[in-house]
Amino acid sequence: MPASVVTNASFHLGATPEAVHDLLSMARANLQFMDVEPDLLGNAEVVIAEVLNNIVEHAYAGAAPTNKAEIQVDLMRRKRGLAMLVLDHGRPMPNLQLPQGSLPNADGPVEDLPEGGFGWFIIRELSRGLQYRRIGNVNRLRLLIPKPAGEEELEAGAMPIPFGMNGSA
Amino acid sequence: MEFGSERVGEVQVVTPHEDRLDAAVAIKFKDQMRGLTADAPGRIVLDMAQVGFVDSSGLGAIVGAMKQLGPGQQLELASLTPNVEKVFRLTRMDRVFRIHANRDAALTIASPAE
Repeated sequence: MPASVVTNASFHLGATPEAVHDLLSMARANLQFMDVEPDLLGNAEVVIAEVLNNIVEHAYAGAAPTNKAEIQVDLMRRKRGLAMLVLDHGRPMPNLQLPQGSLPNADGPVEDLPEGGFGWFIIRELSRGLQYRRIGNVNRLRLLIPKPAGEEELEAGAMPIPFGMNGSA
Repeated sequence: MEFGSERVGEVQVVTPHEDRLDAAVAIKFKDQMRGLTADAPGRIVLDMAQVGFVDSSGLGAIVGAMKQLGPGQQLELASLTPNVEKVFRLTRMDRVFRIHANRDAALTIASPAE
């Protein structure tokens, strides 16, 4: 079966946890419609959630919750994975740089275990080619969520996709 | 959010009826877990069979649910779905929790020796 001719999905959402929650369900349905394989879809869901959580919690920290579409998310199926472009109108990243995303230390006693700080670690673990730019009053983040290792060969052998059918340029 | 909760012998089994444990429900989750685990005698098994997705906020809420337990209580996990298991593995939180393949496996094992 050739991959779906649908290769893109675009969303607009407000900067609230509830809007992110709703978007994740919608994005899942769209990615399934785009024939994104389950492993990649699972990684994509986590990356989308972490990127949007960070925007809501930090770029829009202290902002009054509104349903106005503040954030745009574009997802594009590529040969090597899923490309993602996110635009928002919130505050810029500190020093105009993406967070380092080191893993919080979990070696101590239970009462010292981290309850947060995992977000950018997870994003960096599951994506490649991260690019952040501040353009005027807009934050622009691009990244690629690669297909989990091993799947590419398997897929290429199991079901060849004719040129022109997968919609990639 | 909705939970199932039952006592099986000396084990409290808590089952979130929620597809997604994310930033929108994390605080509610942790607050409700406080009430659901308050009277548990020792082991508490969080059966995650219905949870298909956990983000870092949800993960933090599960860690928080463990930290708010009383002395002698332990939080263990069961039935992690593949995406949820991956988030625990990526963040090394799979080393912090005792994780069982499923509810039955959690209930048939002996209590931890320590």
